[in-house]
Amino acid sequence: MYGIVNKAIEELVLSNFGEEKWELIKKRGDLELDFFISNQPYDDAITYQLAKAVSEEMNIPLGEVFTAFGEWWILKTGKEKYGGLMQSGGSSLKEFLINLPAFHNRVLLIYPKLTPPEFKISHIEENSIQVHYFSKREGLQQFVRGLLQGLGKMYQVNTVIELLESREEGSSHEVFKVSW
Amino acid sequence: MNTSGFIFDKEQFNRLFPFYILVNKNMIIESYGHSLEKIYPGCSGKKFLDHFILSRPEYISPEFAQLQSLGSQVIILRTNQSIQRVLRGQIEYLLNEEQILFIGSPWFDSIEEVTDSKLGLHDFAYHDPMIDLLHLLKTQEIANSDLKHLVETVNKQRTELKLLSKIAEDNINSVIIANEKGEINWVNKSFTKVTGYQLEEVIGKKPGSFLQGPGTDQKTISYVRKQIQSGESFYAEMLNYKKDKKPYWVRIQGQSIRNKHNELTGFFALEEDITEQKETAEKIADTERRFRLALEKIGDYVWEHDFRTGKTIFSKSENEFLGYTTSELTNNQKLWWENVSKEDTHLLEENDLKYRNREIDSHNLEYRVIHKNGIIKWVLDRGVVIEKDELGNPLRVTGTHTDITHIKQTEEELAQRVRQFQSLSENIPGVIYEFEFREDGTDGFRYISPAIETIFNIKPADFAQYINYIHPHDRARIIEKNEYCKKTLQPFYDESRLIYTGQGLKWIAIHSSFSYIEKNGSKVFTGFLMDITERKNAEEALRTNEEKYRSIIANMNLGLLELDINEDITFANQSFCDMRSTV
Repeated sequence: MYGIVNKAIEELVLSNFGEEKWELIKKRGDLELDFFISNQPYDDAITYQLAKAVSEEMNIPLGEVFTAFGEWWILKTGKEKYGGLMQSGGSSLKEFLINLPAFHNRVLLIYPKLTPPEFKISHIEENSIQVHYFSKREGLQQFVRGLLQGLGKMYQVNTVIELLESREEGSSHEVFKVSW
Repeated sequence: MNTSGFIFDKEQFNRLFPFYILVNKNMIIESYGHSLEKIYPGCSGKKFLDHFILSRPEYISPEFAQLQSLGSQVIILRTNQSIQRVLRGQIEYLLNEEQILFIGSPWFDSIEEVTDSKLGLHDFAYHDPMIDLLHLLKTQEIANSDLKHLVETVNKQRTELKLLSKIAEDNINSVIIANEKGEINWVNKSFTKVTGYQLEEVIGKKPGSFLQGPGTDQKTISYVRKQIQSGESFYAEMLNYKKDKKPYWVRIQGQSIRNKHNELTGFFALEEDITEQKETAEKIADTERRFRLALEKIGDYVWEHDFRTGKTIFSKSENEFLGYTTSELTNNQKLWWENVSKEDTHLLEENDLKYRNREIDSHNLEYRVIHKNGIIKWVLDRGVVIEKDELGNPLRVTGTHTDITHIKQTEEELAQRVRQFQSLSENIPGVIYEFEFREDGTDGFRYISPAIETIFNIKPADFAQYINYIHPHDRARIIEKNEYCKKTLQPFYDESRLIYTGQGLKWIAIHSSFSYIEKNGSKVFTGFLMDITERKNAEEALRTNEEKYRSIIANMNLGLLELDINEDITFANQSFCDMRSTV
């Protein structure tokens, strides 16, 4: 993953738990890196190690760490660093989600070393939509849930997110139903 | 719309080129894209040149005929608005329709400008890379900020590293960095200064191979070697040798260096030159030995108590206080305490508590111990703390036991004498005193018994100015006699009058004789003051009567002759004498 992902985890920990905890987490995750460069690719394992270390150090289930991180990614990293881009995604949650597949396909070429996930939208209703998540990475569905929750908060709407299908249950990809 | 074989409806064309402009030969805008309409509404059917300005190429006149020929150029248009928007694209002349088609998209410097223009992602054709370009710019901007931060971090770390290097380099102690085999990689300036070896001479060598020598303790060498071989830290004091073979003492703190996998990668050692410390300690130990010996020679028993172990060690093999040998007493504080007189045990207990509570650093106690044979002995027990922990708690106390039985007996006898003397001085009908003639020429009382207050109604302290109490007629005589006694040390005797303001006078008899010379050279007379007022009054009465009768006898007409036992005349009055001359 690109450094910006790890950097966001770092900022999440620093902002919520302080520098001392961040050092402990790095030590626990056996990470010797002092610095992440946003546009440099890093081994995915580093991101997983970080999340695992946060989970162990803070005694929080790994899934919850990813969910919290997904929200943080939207509300802090996205809004603060890519504010304009996020805003250009749409004027409502629904519009943003509809644009989500195109957005990720665009990203593919901007970050040539990235394997971004793919999204598909279906069942577009007045108050709900289904988001299909295709990824080569395992174990990030809670992260996607956090992203969707974060988007809800960004557009200031109460959302309910249901996981309709998942790879763990034999499906080819995850399907989330986002209702508001 | 027929485009040479391609037929699109307006919606399709809008999806592909949402910022297009179609202008007819009259330079009227026939239609334009949805997204362009969002940022510049109301242009349809209006004059192209009223709403758009040709920025590039600027050199041509913006007429239909001129525009037709611009098919092979990049065209830049500006909207004729208060906030001008820039469109970048190209022009295609549609021959059959006699129209000019502009295909392009707006140019933005930042993604914020896109949102300020009320445009969104969906307003751009999927093939249009404008948004991606801005995304890329944003990413680059963030990366630049990261790099700036990284440079700051690296600079900070470099400064810290420089500081650490400087600390190691300039450390007053020797610093050695060795590899995992214990071979030197680096030494600091202090090392070269202390040992005389230069860095290049020692690199790759094991410190022991050139620093140790004949006087180095073999056990310490084995210990350090074992620790290095097993990759463990070590701490030792060791005798090393400089390049010039001069020995010096070092205190070594060795620390293993390990990587994140806990694999040994080297050693870091700090060597403190403790030669002076060792010499001082040796001198102290030597002084202690001599001191202990001196104390023992003069009869004191030296002991040492360790608070950590609770053990007490006595220096002499025979302990004459209790009659036990040291082997019985060694490490046995209990035995000593058990033989302390029960009346005095509390003194030791209180003293011990004060040490533990850090209230005292030394003590001086007198108490009784009972010898094996039942005899009570007095001990002067003195001690002082010689080692404390970091909190100030005593760890070791050393001191002496001195037999003061004889002193105590003498003190008791002396106290008895004092009591006797006090009783005597309080009960005899007179005042006992000591009067001294000092080396500096002054004189005065050393002691006046309290009886002076009951007999003469004068406080002892007030009588220090005794001359004020002496009748003025007697003062000169007293002073004269004092001077005489001071010179001759002859006994002093006088009968004088004491005067009391408004209370009349009293007669005193003063007897004193020379007793001894004080250490400071004062000559001390011991004396006795006695109230002789009654005697003096009786004598005066007698004398008055005698004079009266003598006058009567002298003046009466009757001869009077007094003879002693041998019939010798002892007295004859005037009448008798007159009669004799007449007869």
